[in-house]
Amino acid sequence: MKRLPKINLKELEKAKEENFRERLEFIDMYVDWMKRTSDIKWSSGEKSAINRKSIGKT
Amino acid sequence: MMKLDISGKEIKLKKELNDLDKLALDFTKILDLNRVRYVLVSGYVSILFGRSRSSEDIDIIVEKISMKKFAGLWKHILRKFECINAVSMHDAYERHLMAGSAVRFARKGKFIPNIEFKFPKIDLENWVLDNRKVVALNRYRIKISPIELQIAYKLILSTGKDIEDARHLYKLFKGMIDEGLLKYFLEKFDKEDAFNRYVE
Repeated sequence: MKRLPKINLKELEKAKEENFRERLEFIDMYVDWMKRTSDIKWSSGEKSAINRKSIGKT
Repeated sequence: MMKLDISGKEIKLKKELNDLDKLALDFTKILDLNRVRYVLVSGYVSILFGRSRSSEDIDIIVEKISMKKFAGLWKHILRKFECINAVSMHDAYERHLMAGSAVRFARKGKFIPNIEFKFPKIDLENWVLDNRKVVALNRYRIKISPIELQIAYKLILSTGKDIEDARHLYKLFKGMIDEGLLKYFLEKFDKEDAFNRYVE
């Protein structure tokens, strides 16, 4: 039988917290980028991300 | 450089409209034409200001109106949209809205995204209707909840997505919002710790 991974819930919880922290850092980077980017450019990127999601593409 | 101007009575925003913006504008235009007061709240407010995520619905709090006025509005809405959770105007008004739950409208033949339309139930929802802010979005006008309330309220909902929405709005409007009003809501919602930990 193949070896199954050891599951450590504390490790997983820590990884989840780190992932969330990275998401928050991404938000900061994105907002900083928006602020120094033209309205047409940032909103064009937002539009393609949202419209792609709304028709079910990933 | 992004031009976000909140110095006057209106928040001025110029952007290329996405599908959710177009849905919000098409629906609120009908409310304006029928002289019905509304305020856009929750996740769409973050998306309006550039948060790059999708949503299945757009939440709108609409002033409580009589059944007669709602009947006129219903007819107008149904020219472009369909109600996806009520079978008739009476059903929508009596079984949903007056009972405190929402009715949902989607573009004809679609289910998502949809408009979640509800009457105010609690004092906070009446307050937000009375204190809505106008956003001059390109050549249109839409009304949204004050940003300070949005930031604090998202921390009550507190999923990862909600906290990200709060952080997005705070970082974007930092230095432009009423810090006293934000502090008031954070205190009342008991979310100061969450704000210090995740948003600031």
